[in-house]
Order: sequence, then C-alpha cells, then structure tokens
Amino acid sequence: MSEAAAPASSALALSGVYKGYGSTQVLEDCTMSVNPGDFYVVSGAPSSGKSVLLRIVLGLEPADAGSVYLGGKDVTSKGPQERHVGYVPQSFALFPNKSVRENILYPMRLDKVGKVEMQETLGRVCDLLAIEDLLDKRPDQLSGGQKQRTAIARGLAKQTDFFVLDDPLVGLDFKLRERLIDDLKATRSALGVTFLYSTSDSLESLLLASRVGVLANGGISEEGDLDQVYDSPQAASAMQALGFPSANLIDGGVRSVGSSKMCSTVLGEVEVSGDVAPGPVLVGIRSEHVQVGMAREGAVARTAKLLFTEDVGGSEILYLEVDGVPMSTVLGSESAALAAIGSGSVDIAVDPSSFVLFDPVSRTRVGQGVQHG
Amino acid sequence: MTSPIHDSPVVLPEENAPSQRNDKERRLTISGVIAWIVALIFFAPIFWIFLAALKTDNTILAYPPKFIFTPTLENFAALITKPNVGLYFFNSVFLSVGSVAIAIVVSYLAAYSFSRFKPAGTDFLMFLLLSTRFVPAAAFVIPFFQLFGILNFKDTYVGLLIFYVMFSVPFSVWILKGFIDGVSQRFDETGLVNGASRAHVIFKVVLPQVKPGLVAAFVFNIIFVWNEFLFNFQLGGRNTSTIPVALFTSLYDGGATNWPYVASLGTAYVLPLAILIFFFQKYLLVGMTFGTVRGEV
Amino acid sequence: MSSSSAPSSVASRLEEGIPAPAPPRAKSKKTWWSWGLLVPVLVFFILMNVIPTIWMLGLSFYNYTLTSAGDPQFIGMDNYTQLAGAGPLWLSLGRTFTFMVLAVAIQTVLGAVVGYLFWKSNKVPGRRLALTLLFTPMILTPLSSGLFWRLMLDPVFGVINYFVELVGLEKIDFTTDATLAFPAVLVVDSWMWIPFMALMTLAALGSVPKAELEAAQVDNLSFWQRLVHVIIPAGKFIIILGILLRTIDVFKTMDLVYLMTNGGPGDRTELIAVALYRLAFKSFNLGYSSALAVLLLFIAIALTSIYLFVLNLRSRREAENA
Repeated sequence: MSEAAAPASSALALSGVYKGYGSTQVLEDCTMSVNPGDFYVVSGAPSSGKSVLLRIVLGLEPADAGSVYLGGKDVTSKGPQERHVGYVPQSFALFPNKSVRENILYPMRLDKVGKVEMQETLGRVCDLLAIEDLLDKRPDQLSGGQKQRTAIARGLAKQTDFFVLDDPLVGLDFKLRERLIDDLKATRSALGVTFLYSTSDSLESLLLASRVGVLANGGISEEGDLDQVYDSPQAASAMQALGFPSANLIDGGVRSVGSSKMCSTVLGEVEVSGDVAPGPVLVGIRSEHVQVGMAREGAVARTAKLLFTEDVGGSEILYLEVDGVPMSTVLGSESAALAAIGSGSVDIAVDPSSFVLFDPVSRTRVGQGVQHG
Repeated sequence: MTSPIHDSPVVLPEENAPSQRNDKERRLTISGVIAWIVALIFFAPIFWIFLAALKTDNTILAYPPKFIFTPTLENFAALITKPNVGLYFFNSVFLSVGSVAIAIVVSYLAAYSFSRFKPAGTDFLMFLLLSTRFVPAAAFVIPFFQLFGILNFKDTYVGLLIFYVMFSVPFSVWILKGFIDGVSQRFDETGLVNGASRAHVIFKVVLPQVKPGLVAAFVFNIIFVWNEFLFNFQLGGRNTSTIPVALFTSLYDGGATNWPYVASLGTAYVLPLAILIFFFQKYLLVGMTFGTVRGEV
Repeated sequence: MSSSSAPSSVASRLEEGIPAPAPPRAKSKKTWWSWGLLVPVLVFFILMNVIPTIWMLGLSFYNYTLTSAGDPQFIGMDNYTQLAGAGPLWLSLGRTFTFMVLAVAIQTVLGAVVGYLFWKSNKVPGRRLALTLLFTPMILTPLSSGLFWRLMLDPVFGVINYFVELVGLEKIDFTTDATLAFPAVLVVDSWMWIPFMALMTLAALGSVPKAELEAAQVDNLSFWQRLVHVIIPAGKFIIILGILLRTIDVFKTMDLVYLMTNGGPGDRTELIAVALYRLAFKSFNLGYSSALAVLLLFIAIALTSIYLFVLNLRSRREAENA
C-alpha cells in the first residue's frame, strides 16, 4: 500500500481508516487519495463498504481510527456541517414537501448564499442537467430519471469544489444511465471540480472514472488512473471490478521448466514471466480476451460447455464451463462468431499475453503470460 | 433489534388516494345494502340517545316507547343554562388540547431520538411505554390518588395536565416513531452535509414529512383524553371535571337519573367524536392500535 | 473471497502497541442529542409512571386501610399470601377469563363477518358515513356506552323490553337478573368491540397483496381456497394483533361493568378490574388492593410481551417479503 500523497496537495486523503460494526470489520487500514479535478470512482462489489467509506468522508460516521483530510486539512473530528462537501445520496432523498426549485436551492439557503449568486447557480445546474421546466413541480410528480437529475442538481448547487456521489445511478434503467453518465462527465469538467463517486457497476467505473480506487477486503486494493489500472491491474480485485462482465479468475499451477516457468490451467499450459514461485497461482483472464472460434497462433484453446447467454444491450455474455470451471466471455450481438455458435459447446481460445497471475493468498500481481510468435 | 413498528413498505394513506379514486365508481350491491343496515344497527343505541335528547322528560319515560314525537330543543336550552355545563366543556377541551399539545412535542423529540440514535435501552423503553397503556387503569388509581394528595395536585389543572401528558405520551411516541422510521435517514444526512444543524433537521427536514403521524397522534390522543373517566373522577373535582365525569355524577343526581340532561349532554359529548371519526377515518386503524399497525380501511 | 494477508484487524493492531484513537467528537455529540431529546419524556415517565409504580409496589407490603385509624404497618408478603388464598378474587379472575374467551370469540367472528361485508362493498354510496356510524360505538368511553344502554335496558320504560314484550315475553330487568346480567354486559361489550374487530379485518384484508388476489381469481379458486391460501396467510398477523388488543382490554374492562351492573347482581359480573376498584374505593384496603394491582401489572407486562412478539414476527416477515 502506497503512502498517502501529501495531504496538502490532495482534494481528499484517507489514511489508515478503520471502521467496524460490532464484530464485523468493514474498513481496515483504508488509505486513498483524490487529486483536485479527479473524477474518482470507488469501485467495489456490493456491500464491500463503499457507502461506509463515503459516509466517513462526509462525516456522517466517525472512523474508529485513522484520519480524513479534505483540501489538505485534517477534518477527522469535524462534523458533516463543517466539511463543506456537496452530496448526492444513493436514494434521491428529495424533500417531498419542497418544489424542485426549493430542493435545489436548499444547500445555498443553508449557506446563506446571496440572491444573485443563488439564481446564477440555479440557472447553471439546471442548464447542465436540463431540468429548467421541472422547477415548479413537486418531487412526486417526477419520473425516476428526473428525480435523479434533481438530486444531482441539488448536490452540485452546494458552493464547494468537492462532491460526493453515492452510487447515484443505481436502479435506473440502462438508457437513462447512459445519458446521465454523459451528463455527469460533462458536468464535472464544466465545473472543474472534484467528484468522489461510488458504484458496484464496472461499466459505470469504466465510463466515468479518470481515477479509480478498488475497494476490496476493507481497503483500497489498488488506485490509479483508469487506463493504468485497467491495462495492468496489480490486484485481482481490481481486475475483477473493472471488467464487464467481471474478469475470469481460475486456478493455475506454476512449475519450472529449465530456465522458464510454465503455468497450467484448465485451458492449457503457457509460459509465464515475472516473480512467480512454483506452486498454485490465481489466473485472471478478462472476459473480452476469451475468443470464440478459431484459435490464433500461440493461443491455448479448449472446447467449453455453453451454459446460457445473456443479452446486455449491444452485446451478449456467454456463460461457459470448462472441466467444471465456470468462465464467461462477451461477444457483440451482431458478431459473426455469435451467429456461428451452435448449441451445447463453444470453441474458445486465449492468448498467453492475456494471462495475469496473482498470488493466491495476497491476490496481488506476480506475473503474466508470455506471448510467442 | 429493529423496532417492531415498521410496516414496509410504508404506504401513507394519501399516496394511495388517487388510484383509489379512479376505480371508485359508486355502486349499490346487495352486500352494500346489508353493510349499510349493519352500520345502522350498530349506531341505533346512539341514535336512541339522540332521539331522547329531542324528547321531553315525559316522552323519554313513556311506555311503550315513542318512536314518533314532536322534537324539541328544550333539553339543549336547559343544558346550556346549567351552571356547570360550560365548565365541563371547557375542562374537556382545555385538558385534552393542552395536554396533547405538550405530549406531542415531547413525544416527537423522543421518537426522533429512538428512531435515529437508538440509544441503549430503546426497545425496553418502548416496551415499558406500551405496557403502561395495557395496565388496567384501576391498578394505578391508588398511588396517583395519594401522590396527588401529597403534591396538592388534586382538582388542579396543573396536576391533571401533567397526568394527561403522560397518558398521551406512550401512544404518541409509538405512532411518531413509526412515522419517523418511515422517513429515510438520507434526508437527515442531506441536511447535515449541507450545513444544517440537528435542530434544523428535526424540525425543518423530518417534521414536515411526518405530518400525517402528528395529525393521527393529535386526533386520537384528544379522543382518549376526551374519553378518560376514572382518573378525572378520582383526581379531579368540581373545578376540573370533564364531560364523562359529569355524565356519571348526573346518574345519581338527586336520586333518579335526569334523563333529559343525560341525553342532551351525551349527545353533545358524542357528536364531536363522530365528526372526528368521519374526517379522520384513515387514521382510525393506527389510532386504535396504539400506533402499532398502519394501513387503510 | 479467501482470507487475505491484507491489513491486520483492530485487535491485532492494538496488540502491536498502537494506541487506540480517542473517541471522535461526532460520537459524543450524537450521544448528547440522543439523551437530550429523551429528557422531557423521561421526566414525565419517571414522575407519572416510575414513581407511582414504586409507590404501588411499596404499598403492597403494608397493611394500610384508610378507614381504620393508625399508621400503615409493614407486613412483608402477607398481602400476597392473602391474595393467593382469596377465593372471590380467583373467582373473578376466572370470570374475567370466561368473559375474555366469549367476548373475543364473538367479536372476532362477527367482526370478521362485518369487516368482510364492508370490504366487499367498498363502492357502496356513503361508505365513509356508514363506517363512521359503525365505528362510533368503539370510540365512546365505555362509561357513556353503559349509560346509553341503561336507557334502553330500563326495566320500566326501556325500548328493549318493548321488543321483549312484542315477542310475547315478560319484561326483564337485565342488569339485575342473575342469569342475564353477564350476557347483557357481554352483548354491550360486543356492540362496542365488534366494530373494532371489523376494522382489524378490513386492515387485514387490505394487507393482502392485490396481485395475489387477482391471481386467485384467475385460477378460479373457491372462496374457502382463497381464504385459506391467500387471505389468511397475509392477514393473520393483523387479526392476531386485534385479538391480543381485545384480550388486553378485557383485563381493563371496568367502567362499562361498573356503570351497567356495578359488578352485580352479587358478584355475577365482577371482572377483575372491577374487583380491584371495589377493593380500593369501597373497602379502602390500599395495601391489599395494591398487591392485586401488582399482580395485574405483571399480567399486563406479560401480555405486552406477547403483543410485541407477534408485532416483531410480522415486521420480520414483511422485511423478508420486501
């Protein structure tokens, strides 16, 4: 785990945060840092503690141990009122007794913002989220997407440069999410502010994040720029969290053959490099790297049993089984390979370079496959 | 342990009103006719008192009973000129409204604490509160009788107000906690994060969202205090008697029952209750179950 | 996920000698609020519940009769041993039990019928007014109900006796008749509380998921099949709560009996709460009646526990369904 970046330069820094409820430890030594201007996505499985992490950042829950820095200042012992953070809660939490306008103005009314500035901000956030014509409605007159836009607008209306968005798109339908994802990205860069965003949806992480932190086992197992974490994940959890569908993790065994090392899995044996000791390993293979059809030169190939397929809008996930080991792959709905699939079995192939090796205990990266030819 | 009262999903009566209205095209069916007849049978004894209130003394005591007669408002005229009747009504209204208003304020604060902070012993305190309403009133008459004697509270508004506040608190706490539980904590947090004080959250964020609970608590506690007899009888006196006590004492007023008086006073006692039931029918269920069951009828 | 070599637990951290952090301020602030908001209710509760209860407990260990001169005497458990051997009280407790079984059975069954009737006719014109008329009896103070029924049951000019004569019987003095007083009280109690059970039935029927009812209709289930497989599983908790509330209320029934029959003739209608009241305010035996009050308090606490147990069952089941 890297040392927290110097708090002074970061928008948010957590250092060694612990949080437990009764006998369950939710966060253990959680350390992270968010730079100003980041669209920082906390990615993690459901109930991995994302909400707790955000609540600690907001000051809604005290940490059992560790420190929270906002804009370089230690706010660990400060209440939520003193942290000046914009907040979009998971459920919309729009005040049912207030109009959309009053909902959006709420953070500014509490901060006693001047009338002119208030109207300006209102105009700006309404513009960004295209909700001008909803201002006089009541929350119960809005559709789910409109409620969500209003909630985001209210969060953004806070006069600050750090915003927390707790899985705001959960439960919305696919189309709506796509549109809001674009809006959120555009909004963040238009305002030039910092977003801390949590989601368990890898697609949202991939589409939104400039920086990503993967929350697993109570801590940030890996954080960094999205491309870097995606391309060369250093933790098995990061590889799984940033993949749609989730990356395959299968068991493998490494043995030394002369000066080189070979890793065998149900798919076959490939040469691997890195700091790998002989013995069991965990092999990560992204779903999209599992090819269907003819194997390319150097790839390992098998015939897999096709369990079922799932249409996820534009692409099709294939759930497979190889010698009892479940795997998945993904194909475009229009692809020729998909059309060629018969029933019962599928020929699959994986390039050795797609193999990423993790230590089975620490689940950190120890090596990768070597591509020949 | 969670509080036993949370009917999930919480459906406030209003939310269902529009959909209900749509399919409510009035229709008279056989079961509808029978239902109306049943309702009239149940109301008949009260209607008989209403009729008696419009009869003269002789007509009331006539045998066979007179079903058709010339109605008169004499009894009501006599009622309002009776020296103490105004005081009984004032006492009933003052004690019920006054004590319930205080009870709801203190109960709301406590219910907020129980719902949001869940301090140690919350379940036990909620249990104790409910159990106080399940004990026969007669069991507590003696200690109250003596305590009120020591404190010089007998036949004073202060004493009876304090008593009726506590009388109204258990039900209010139960009903309000149920309603506050139904308001997502995300609202509180949205307020706090945006810089609101806890007091702002309590009164400006949560309070407007539990108005139905406040109305239900208010209406039903008013009814319960309006109806309370035993303690007013034992702890009150000529200054603080309420209508039920007046009804009771009139029974033995000078030997024979003064039926014109009882009937007209009884009518004046029942009518406000019937009107409340008519207008606040949707809260009847939560009201009659001490706030533990919510739903529609 | 398999176990990880990742960060040690707090416990092991403490073993490593890292000092525990001071409790954050936010927590103590919350504690302050949580108890601060409770203070007013606690003040009222202590003043108007705890002190009277302790007082009552204390009294129950004394020989204290208002009518006899002399100071109260501490007599330990004597009141309780006397209570255990008091035939008439156990008799009235038994009578209360009989009354409870009959009243609750009658009111549950008839209440269910009336409730179902109103549920079926939810489109009847003036339903709200009809329900108001139906529900008014239960909202009256039992004392006034007793009073109103006295007018109707009067042996000389009562309207009920008019109907009794119409069917060719002799006039009856219901409230003093040795065999009819108990049923008369039962009838009036049922008049008051059948509407309550009808209300609970309506709520129970309202809690049956509409989709399930429609599915039952599509499947062409008979009335009994619908009742057993759809309505009762969904609505039973509310009915049970209603039955429990009625049971608890029977233990409290005092004013109605007091006004109708004053427990008589003899002790024919003396329910336990009436007996308690008579003990306290007719014989002024405060110590002894306090012992009885303590006994009733325990019964009430037991019944409350049962009530909350059922309530918890219900909410747990609803949480599972959600």
